[in-house]
Amino acid sequence: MSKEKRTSRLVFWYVLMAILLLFALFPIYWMFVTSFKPFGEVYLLTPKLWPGRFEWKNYIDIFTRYNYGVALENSIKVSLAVSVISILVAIFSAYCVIRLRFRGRRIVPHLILFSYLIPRTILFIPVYILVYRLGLGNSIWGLLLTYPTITIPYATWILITYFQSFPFEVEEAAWVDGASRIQALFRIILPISLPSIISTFIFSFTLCWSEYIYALVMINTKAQKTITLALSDMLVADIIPWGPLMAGAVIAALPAIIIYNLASRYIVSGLSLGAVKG
Amino acid sequence: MTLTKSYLKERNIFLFILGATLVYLFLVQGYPLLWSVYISLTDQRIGTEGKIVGLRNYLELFSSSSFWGTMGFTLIYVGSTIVLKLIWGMIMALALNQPLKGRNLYRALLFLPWALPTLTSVLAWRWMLGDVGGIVNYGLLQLGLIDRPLGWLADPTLARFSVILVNVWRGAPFFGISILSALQAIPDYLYEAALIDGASSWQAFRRITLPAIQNVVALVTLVSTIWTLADFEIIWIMTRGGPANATHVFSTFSYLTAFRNLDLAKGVAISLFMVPFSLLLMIVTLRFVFREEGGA
Repeated sequence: MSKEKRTSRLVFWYVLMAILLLFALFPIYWMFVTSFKPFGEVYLLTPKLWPGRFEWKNYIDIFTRYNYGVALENSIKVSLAVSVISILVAIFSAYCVIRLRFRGRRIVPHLILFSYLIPRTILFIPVYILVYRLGLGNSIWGLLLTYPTITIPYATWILITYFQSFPFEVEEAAWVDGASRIQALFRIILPISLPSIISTFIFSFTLCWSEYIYALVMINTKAQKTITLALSDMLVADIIPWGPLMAGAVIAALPAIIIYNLASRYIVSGLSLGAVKG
Repeated sequence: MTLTKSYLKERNIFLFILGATLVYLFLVQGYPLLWSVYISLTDQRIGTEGKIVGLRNYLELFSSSSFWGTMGFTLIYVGSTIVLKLIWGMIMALALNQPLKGRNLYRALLFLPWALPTLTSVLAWRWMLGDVGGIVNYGLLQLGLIDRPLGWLADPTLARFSVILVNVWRGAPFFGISILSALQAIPDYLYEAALIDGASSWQAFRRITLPAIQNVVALVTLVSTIWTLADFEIIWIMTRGGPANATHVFSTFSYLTAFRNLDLAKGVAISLFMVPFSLLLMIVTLRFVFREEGGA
């Protein structure tokens, strides 16, 4: 290939990359910019690409006028509790599948993956009725009951694929030294697996953090609402308060952005299910 | 002797946790799914216990034009977004696989639409596509591509275009990053050998690249189809299924029927129409995943 040809080819890819980046990032950029604009600037008929003046007012408003603090607290509580429980359960379940011999062992990964794939929009009405009959309606307890159906299958599946390639000789060495299974699991296996476990935990957290439809059908009371509900509630006003709304969206998006950049390597392999082969 | 005993006891603790987990998942996923078949045969509304009415909900749906409209748009939505996500994701992966400066940064940035909570980015899109003060109309007017503001969410055809666009925006990175990981597993010497043999880049793409990524593409397409078929947030936040029901998919129509018109049983009947397609796709996905595993 001649040098010119190679250069022009590279230019082509740079231009294409610029288009890809523009399309991917502009909405996110616009969210940030709007969140810092003064009220008058948000609704200008000729919008400014860059705020004339940066203001924190929208960020203050969303907490003082739209009760976002309560929603944030609820979301943090639910996401944390559900992820902690899910990761613990997933560690034990995945370990069973990989390390123990029992009847029906081969069917368990099928069930887990099936459970991971089944969409919530097929289940949301009977689940809503179930939660209300159990007396957990209209409270974050209903979310605590149902969100693990999202996170446990995910976390278990990821850990099964991870344990498949785990060098379990280290565990057997610990047994020889007199450790029990549970001791070996917690003292030997988990410390080595920490990066995978942390990224699985983090991703479980973001799954709860961004969940919408279960929360939408189960919760009506302001005091029990999560961030996704608090944000979508702001759409019902006659004039939608885009400034505070975008500020709330930025706050909700920040953990996800930070987290993905820290752990994206693990998350991607898990999401694409490509890690199945181990 | 005692050693074996304690190992057996521990084994039971492990198996108990696994068993309890599976029972829990069945109670909150499997049982509601089976139960919904029963609910769909009743006339249960919010606040009342239903009684069995047979197939009435289904018959009413079959004679309702909004139901057929929903089914039609669901097909359009799933079909078009999957094809577009695949194409856009492929372009993304090929671009990220070039020796460009800063490609790790680009990779992280291009992944953001998938990483963000859907609801937050859909809100941003709704704001951008607004007919008054929306930046999209403003930009297109400035570029001279349109001569008056368009109702991106108010005109039925444009609203369909808009929700498809946003779904592609959010979902393409999932295709892109997955295909990229398959591309990066292709050893360079294959391309060098093809170059020496005088193959064109198109031939190299067809004979080397495509076979190497086809499994990943198939799997990602399957999973994305399952999730797109059940998609709710993008449409509910952007259009509520409107204008004039033009953008309803099964999930939004089901939600509207169950929780705005309070007709739970009919809402369930609508959502059950997703089940045959979803189940089929899930079974294919499972076979695919575990066949891969067995062959490895």
